[in-house]
Parts: sequence; structure tokens; C-alpha cells
Amino acid sequence: MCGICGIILKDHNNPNFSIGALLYQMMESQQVRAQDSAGIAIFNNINSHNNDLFYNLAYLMESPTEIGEYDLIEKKVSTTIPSNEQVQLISRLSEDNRVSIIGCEKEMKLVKNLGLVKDLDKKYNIKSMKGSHGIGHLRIATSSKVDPSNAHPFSTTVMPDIAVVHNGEISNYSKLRNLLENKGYPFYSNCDSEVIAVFLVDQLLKHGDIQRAHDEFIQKADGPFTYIAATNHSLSLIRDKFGTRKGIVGYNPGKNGYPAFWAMATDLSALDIVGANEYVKAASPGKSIIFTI
Amino acid sequence: MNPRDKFVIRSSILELAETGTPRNISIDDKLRNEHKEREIEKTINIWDSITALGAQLSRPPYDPYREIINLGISIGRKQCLNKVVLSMPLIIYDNAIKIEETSLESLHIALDRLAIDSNTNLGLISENEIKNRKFSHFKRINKKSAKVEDYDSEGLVLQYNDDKSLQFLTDIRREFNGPILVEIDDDFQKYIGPLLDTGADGVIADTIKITNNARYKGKHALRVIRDVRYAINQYYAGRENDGIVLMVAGDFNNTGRIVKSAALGADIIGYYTSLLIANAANHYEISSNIHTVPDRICRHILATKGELKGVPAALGYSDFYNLSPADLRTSSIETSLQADIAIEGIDKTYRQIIEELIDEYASEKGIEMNKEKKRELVVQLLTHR
Repeated sequence: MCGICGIILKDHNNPNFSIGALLYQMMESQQVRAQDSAGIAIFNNINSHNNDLFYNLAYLMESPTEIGEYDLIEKKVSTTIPSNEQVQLISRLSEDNRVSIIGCEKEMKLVKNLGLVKDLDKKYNIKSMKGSHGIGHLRIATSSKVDPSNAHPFSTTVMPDIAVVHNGEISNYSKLRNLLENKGYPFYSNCDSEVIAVFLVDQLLKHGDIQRAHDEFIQKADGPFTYIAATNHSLSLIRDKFGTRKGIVGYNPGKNGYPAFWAMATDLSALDIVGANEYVKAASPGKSIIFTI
Repeated sequence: MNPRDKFVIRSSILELAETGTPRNISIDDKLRNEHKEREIEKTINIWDSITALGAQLSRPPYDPYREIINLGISIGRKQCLNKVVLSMPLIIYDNAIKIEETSLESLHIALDRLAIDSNTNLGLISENEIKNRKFSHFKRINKKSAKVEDYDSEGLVLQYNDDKSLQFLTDIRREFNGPILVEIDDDFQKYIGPLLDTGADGVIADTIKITNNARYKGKHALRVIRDVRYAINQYYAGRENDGIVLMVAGDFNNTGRIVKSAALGADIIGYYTSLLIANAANHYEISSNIHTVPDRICRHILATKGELKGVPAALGYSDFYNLSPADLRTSSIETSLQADIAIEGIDKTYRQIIEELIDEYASEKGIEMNKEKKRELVVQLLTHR
């Protein structure tokens, strides 16, 4: 019973609005659904580094003195595709039990940790984060451990700037993961949701079409799920073919002093609290709703 | 089932028919005693020591979700123009044994009825020419025909014998547009790459034949399935699997074994039970005739189809082919070793437990150990346990 949410501003060219504050409100209104961990990913293509040959490898490192305390660390990498140096670094980090690798970031800022959304804000000041779109997640663990590596959003180290939050279960996770591992994709957690991010990356590397990637996933994945995926050019809401998990979209035309934006979430309360209660509709089972920049 | 087991069953039935008195020992116990004498109990019981993990049973029920369970499978890789689609993962497999005409006729009628009345298309592997059929026929061939028209079936099956088999496959591939399945032996690891390169659409592993050969002597059918699937995965490492199917045949005579094999990586099961039903009925039942035997085969297949839908549904899948080794658990170390199945309650395979033990020991004692050395040690500990 996780809680997911996402926001995309209608005017993408002015991403100096603190979208983090809106995501914070949406997450807090759904906190009752899940309390194990919280995480967000926010995309900002203006304030990010414009150099194509630059991104960060982000990972969480457990404090050597306090067990359960993690710090976000970013290591600069000067290439758009994984270099040998980076592969070696990732390989070394993934053998360290105190490290949880969370992905590659260029225009995206991804933070996640154990605890409530207010704990996340206290640590990383998420309310002040600016950007054009973003996603948030509240986790209650069903199938894997409660630790930062299994917290959402999930990203990959193969392609920068893709993040996924998920509510439900991918029951054929093991099968899909084996297929992707056989193709050479690395996994850094035991959470079924990670397979969505890696699957989408595999598809995007093949044909670059996010709509087709989601359609393929709906066909291949089994189980009850709703997920929100964000890339630097899109925000999408996807439901399984039987519509067994909730997923709704609403629009705020610019009320309450906010700029106009589209919002998506698990619960209606999350849309209400940010005034996104126009054109409210549930995503159709087996379909994706995609907003692009 | 091996011939000695069959002999025990048949002689028990005949004994009962002749004497008319109740037995003081069940057929199962008789078989067990027989196995004990031949010291093969260990490998036979492996089937029964595997359970399916009902982890997803903790979910609330979703009726629409559970009602749609896909059993259909398409046979044929990219290069295959006329793919064959089966309604369930079974191909009736004649085990290369000569079947009597009457039994075959009953079987053909049954398969036709299943295709027409129940929308259930099964495959049949057989050497015979079968005219006016509604089901998919895979013709067993051992020499190249002069005319393409002679391949009057939807698919072909050929046996891999030596390097010449690859040339044989290349020649046939040029002429035949349907799927070609190749029966492999215990040496498959040496040639599976070239075989798939040459254009085989699937491989058939007859587990009885393979476990009777030197390389797999004393090993179980599950080990064969695991190894062949692993070899196929290795072939596709870093690439997209373009639809190769693994068919296993041998001692798969009930739903449980079909499901366990599928979870370990088999896509299609070579099923012999329907032929046994036809054979037994035509041989031993005076009242049976050409109409009642197909009925019995149809009922058996449809019951099996229902059971095959039930298992993935209970595990939370809407597609039979989503079963994976992660859905299985075992209570036996031997089984865990043979097929890399996790042990109940621990959720780790026996191999993983040993590997962790070595890691802990090495770290405690401050021993530097490279991957190769660790692998050698694991093999040694597993072999001499």
C-alpha cells in the first residue's frame, strides 16, 4: 500500500518554482498509506550543468558511527555513457555493504531515505527544490527489506535521469530480472520495483520511445501495479491491464498562487491538497498517460 | 517412467485381475521397494520434495486478474515465417516408440476434437504422415527429402548426432518455413551455440535419454532442465532472446511435474500420458472402442489444462510462462543441489549457504581468496559433503 505522486508544470520554461514544496504536501497527505521510507526525484534542466559530458553517480553511505544513518554522496563522472572508470567505481561500491547505489543524475536530483517525508525534508530540504517536474514515493515494505537500497524512486547506472516510483507488486519480477541481468544490466536492490526502471532503460536504449517502452512493460509485466516514471523530457502514469491499483490525474489551472500544473497520485486527497482537482480522471487499465516537455 | 516401473505396475494389475483378491501391498510401496533395491530412491523422490511458494497468496483476490491465465505459446524464432501457436505448453511426444495404428487413430481423433470443440491446439511429434488434421504436427525426420512438399507438417523434429547434423539443419532451414526443433544429447553444451546459430527454433531435451548417458548418470531430470536453460541463457548473454523454446520430455506425467519443469525453465513439455491412455485402453479394455478412447483423452487433457491455469493463478500470475525458479522451494539438500532451488524457511540454495560460509570463514581468518579459488572450494565442499 505505497503512496506515489508526480507533478509537471504546464510552463516548463520557468522551472524556478519550488516544485519540492508541492510534492512534499502531496506526500504528506498520503503518509497514512506508508511510513517505512520516502524519496523524491526532481528534474531541473535550467539549473543543471549544461555540459553534455557530465553527470553524477549518486549513492547513500551509511554512517560509520550511527547505524541506520545514511548520507547522500555524489561522485562526478565526465561522460554520458558509463566509462571503465565508472564501471570500476560502481563495482567497488556495490561490494560495500554500507553503500546503496541510487543511480546516475544529470538534470535530475534524487534523494531517498528511511523514515517519513518530514525526515527527508529535514535532511535534504526537499521543499526548496526547484524544477519542471518531479515524482515522490512513500514506501511500506512488502517483499524486501526496509533499507535505503530498497527505497524509491528507482534509477539506474546505465542511463542518467530516469526515475520510477511504484505501488503494487510485479509478480514476475524474478523472470524479468533474470532476462535483464542476462542482457548485462546491473541491479542494486532486491525490490521488485527496480525492474521497471531497468526495463524502461532497456527499451529506451533500443528505440528511444517512452510510450512504446511503457506499452511493452504492460505486456510483459504480471501482477497488480501502478507506477509513475519520469525522464528529463516526460512524466508518465501507468496502470496494469486489470487496473488493480489506483492512479489518478488532475489539473490545477493556476489556483492558490501556484503556476498551472498537472498532478498525479494514488489518493484523491493528494490532488485536493494542491488544488489539482480539475479534469480529474483515473488512468485507464493497461494504458499510460504521458506528459512531455 | 522406466520399463521396470511399468512392469511392476502392469504385473500388479494383472495379478489383481487374475486372483481377484485385495493386495497386501500398494503399487506405490512395491515401486518404492523396487527403487530401494536399485538405490535410485534418492533421485526419484526429488520431484516430490519440491513445493511451489504461495507468497502471493497473501494478496487480496482480484477476480478479473485471476480469471485470465495465458497458457498459449508461439513456436518459431525471428527467421521462422510460419510460427506454430499452441493453446497450452504440451506436445504429445511419441518417445520415438512405435505406436499401434489403433492407438494413434484414437489419439488423432482426440487431438482433432480438442482443436475443434474446445479451441485447444496441442502439438504432436510423430514420424507418421497424418492427413486432414486440425492440430499441429511436428514430423520427425532423419533424412532430407527430395521435395519440399514432403514436409507435410507444421513443424519438423530432427536428432542432433554429429557435425553433419548442422549441415542437415542448414539445408532444411533453407526450404522449410515452419519451426524446426532439434533433439539434443548429453553433450549439448559443446554444440548448442552453433545449433542455435544454424537456425533451430527450439531444442528438445529427452531427460530419460540424457540421464542414461555418461555425463548425466545419477543426475535428475531437473538438473538437465536447469543446465539446458542455462546454456541457452549463456548463448543469449547480452542480447535479446528471439524466441527459442526449450521442450523437455521424459518422465513428465502429471500437472505437478509440468509446473515444476516450467518453473525451472522449460517452455514446452513433451507429454506421453495421452498416448499411454490410448494404448492402455486399446489393449486392456474389451469394452473400449474408437469413440470412447478419444473422449477419455480429451477429458484428461482438459482437466490438465484447468490445473495448469490454477497453479499460476494461485501464485499471482496471469501468464503460465512467468513461473520461475524463485517460485519453488525444497525440503531436500539433494534437490537444492541438483536444480539450484532455495531451501524452505531459509530461502537460499544449498550452494549459496556454502558460499556464505566460506566468505564468513575467510573474513574471520583474514584469508585472501580470489573468485577462482572460492569456486574450487565450493565445488569440493559440495561434492564431498
